[in-house]
Amino acid sequence: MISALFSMMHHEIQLTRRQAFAWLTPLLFFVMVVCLFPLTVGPDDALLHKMAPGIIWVAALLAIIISLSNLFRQDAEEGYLDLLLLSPYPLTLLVLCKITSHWILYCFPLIFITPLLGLSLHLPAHEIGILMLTLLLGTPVLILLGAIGAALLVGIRGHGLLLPVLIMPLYIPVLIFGTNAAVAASLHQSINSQFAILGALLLLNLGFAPLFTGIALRMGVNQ
Amino acid sequence: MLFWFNQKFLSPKAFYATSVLLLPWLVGAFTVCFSYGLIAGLFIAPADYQQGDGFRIMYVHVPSALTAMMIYFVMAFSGILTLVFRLKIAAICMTCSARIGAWFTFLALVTGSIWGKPMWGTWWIWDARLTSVLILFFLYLGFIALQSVIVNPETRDRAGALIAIVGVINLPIIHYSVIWWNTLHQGPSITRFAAPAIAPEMLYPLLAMIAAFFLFYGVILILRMQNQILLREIKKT
Amino acid sequence: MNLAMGGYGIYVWSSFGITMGVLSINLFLSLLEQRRIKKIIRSQ
Repeated sequence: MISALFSMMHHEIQLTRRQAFAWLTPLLFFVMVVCLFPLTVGPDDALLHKMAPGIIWVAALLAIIISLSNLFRQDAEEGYLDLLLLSPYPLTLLVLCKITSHWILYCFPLIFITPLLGLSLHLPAHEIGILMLTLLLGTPVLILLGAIGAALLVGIRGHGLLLPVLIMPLYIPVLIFGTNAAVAASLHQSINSQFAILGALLLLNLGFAPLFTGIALRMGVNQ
Repeated sequence: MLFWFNQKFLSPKAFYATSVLLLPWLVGAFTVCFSYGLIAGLFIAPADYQQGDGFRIMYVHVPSALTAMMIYFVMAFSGILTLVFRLKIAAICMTCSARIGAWFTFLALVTGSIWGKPMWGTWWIWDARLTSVLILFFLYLGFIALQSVIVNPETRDRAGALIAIVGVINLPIIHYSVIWWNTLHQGPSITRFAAPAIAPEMLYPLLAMIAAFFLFYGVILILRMQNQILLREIKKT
Repeated sequence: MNLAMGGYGIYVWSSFGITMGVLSINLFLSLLEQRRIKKIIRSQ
């Protein structure tokens, strides 16, 4: 079964290689959104430093939500989704596998470009490090929760911004603790509690979200 | 056995019959609670030491916020029944509750905002309670939006149930994270809703108003569920 | 009859007014809908 999961992840990566540049679109979106903020609030060092964790987190959140619309869309169109639902392997694991590959493909670039963006927003190095760690722990939660929404909307055409509207309230805890860890680091306060909660949220969603996503997928395909 | 139970009590027809009998009692109880709460809250309860007569807004703000939260739990519970037991009546209850809940959340936000103006001088404040109610408002609207895009009735019920359950699981997490966030950003002067020292003359009207709002939800819910049941009967023929 | 509410009158009365408005709107919408549906049933 492990080999089945690996081959599935390999399949996902192969699919993305076909549309090489499209893969980087969320990354471009992320960078552009971050760049909008100095343009709108002014280039003042102190202000940007204060806002930086929030800006980067919100931009990452938006980029991830947009990439999530396509999580199941292509599979549903090609009939691959029906194959997944009929597979002998547990749907929860298959979904988890898909989510993992999506995370690796789309979130790693975001995390890697964060130091560059952090420097442009006048963040010192160790705060950038903390911010990257929060993104590392938090972005999986965003994708796990978003997958539920994507699965619910899989059959529906032109749902537009319904996916963000549906799951953004659920993102608020991750957002609060993720940004606050970075802000606390800048004030030289303890960041243990924030990371503990981020870790707890990750574990909680790893347990529940793929299950709910599987249920939602079964609903959608029966339409 | 379960099927008999379902047909006898939980089928839409049975529910409709029961609801017609139940409605007058709910309306009566509501009238009693609401009149007492309104009169006592507005005129009989003594003015608060700190907030003067402005605190009387509490008599509509707190009940609407509590009712809004209670309705979400009812909605989520109906969602569980819909998803696990496929009860039609639960799906109807869930869909109707969502709209009523959105109204109460809206009311809580507006009354909270109006309360804030004389108390703190601003129309909106990002304190824990108002922010939590705002997020609850978004959860309700998201649910209604999701149900409005899905065409297939059965999928609509099940999808709504799922999002309601996911929402209710996250609700405590969201609530506590907002409270935590709020404690970080408190100014030096603690600007929270100073809960008035609850003297009995202030408390009883509040309890009566809370009961009245819950009962009002029951009345409107029954009316709307009756409408839904009738509509589904019409669509069948 | 403390109508001025110690200076906070406009806030208190507008809150209670909006509350009565929202409750009434809900009540009337539901009743109107029921009347409309019963008319459809009767005409069938």
